[in-house]
Amino acid sequence: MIQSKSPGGADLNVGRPSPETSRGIAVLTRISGILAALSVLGLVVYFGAAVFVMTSEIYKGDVFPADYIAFWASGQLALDGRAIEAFDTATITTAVTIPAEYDPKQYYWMYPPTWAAVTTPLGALPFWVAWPLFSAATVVLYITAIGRWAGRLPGEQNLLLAAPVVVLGAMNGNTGLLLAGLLILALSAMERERWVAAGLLIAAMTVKPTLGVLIPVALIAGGYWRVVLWATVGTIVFALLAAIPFGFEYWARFFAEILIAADRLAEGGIPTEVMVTWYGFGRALGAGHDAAILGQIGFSVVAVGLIGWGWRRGGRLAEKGALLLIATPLARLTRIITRWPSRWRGLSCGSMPGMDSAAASKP
Amino acid sequence: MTALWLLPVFVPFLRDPPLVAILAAPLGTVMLGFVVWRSRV
Repeated sequence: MIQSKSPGGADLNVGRPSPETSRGIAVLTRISGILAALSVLGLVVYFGAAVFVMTSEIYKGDVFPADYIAFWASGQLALDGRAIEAFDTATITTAVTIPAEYDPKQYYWMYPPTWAAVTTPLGALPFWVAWPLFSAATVVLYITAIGRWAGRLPGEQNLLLAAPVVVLGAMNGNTGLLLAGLLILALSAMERERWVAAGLLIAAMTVKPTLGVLIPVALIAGGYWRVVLWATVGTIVFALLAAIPFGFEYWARFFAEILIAADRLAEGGIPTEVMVTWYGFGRALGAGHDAAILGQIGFSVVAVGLIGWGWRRGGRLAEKGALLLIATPLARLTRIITRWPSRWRGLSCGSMPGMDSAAASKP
Repeated sequence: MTALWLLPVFVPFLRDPPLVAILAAPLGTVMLGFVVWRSRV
């Protein structure tokens, strides 16, 4: 657990704290420590139990229910010389074995080769090693990244460690903590005028291009041209490096697949209740696919304007960064822009490169 | 007040349980407005 170094020294931006405020901070600091301890304990127990179960002789499977399954399965296929087959839902789903009691689901792979370059080496490890290792690495990255700014909070990183998103993200082994950590590290590097590092960290985020809508808007509006330059260079270099083992056809297939991702969404192939966007909110309330898309596009347009305005006006990077951090997951458009409302469809994706071949391979 | 800045970290990436996930977009948007209001952006 991360210990608070200065429980009474939190910056509340209100000048010298009153005795009541100091007492409140002390209470919050203590609570944050307890919550962080419970979170760590919960994760240790969860992963310990999962590893114990998976390594027992009676366990009839090679994976355990978690988002990380798709990553590990892609690694298995890549190590078997069939990396590109990860895009085929039936193939990636049958690449792993999970006991029937766990209600096996379909797994989807919609990632570029830059992410396959990360998941493939981990695929060489047993799932019960790779999954905790990946989760622990993302938690450490996230907590480390936020550490620079957490000094202003009661209990410093403790409340962040106790945040449900950290616990759930670690349990699932998905990319949330990794990408949040990379973006925070990039903002922190910009605060210290380390433009190359900031650019390369943002380039690393392209392993999940879904979240890249607002970042270029912010950088350009703020005039961070050197970060834009290095992010562009880094993205190109990472893309080329990943193409060496996986080939350019992997890139082509990736772009083709993200075009049909929204079709899966419209057909109910992907659960919408786990989406944090206004699209997910609309679907949860019973709105149709097209109406929810329009709502998402509307919010995203507002978010682009807000980020552009906020970053152009200046101010402290921590504040501009807070805007970007909140808006980024809300304004994701990847599964949206690829499928306009049906009446516009003939004007948009129908003629996009790779669409026909991708549709033909759809499970 | 600073503690409230934690909420953006808690909320937008939250994915489970579904009820909370459904609330994430409205709450995240409220927090976006809060940051604009409180900060000197």
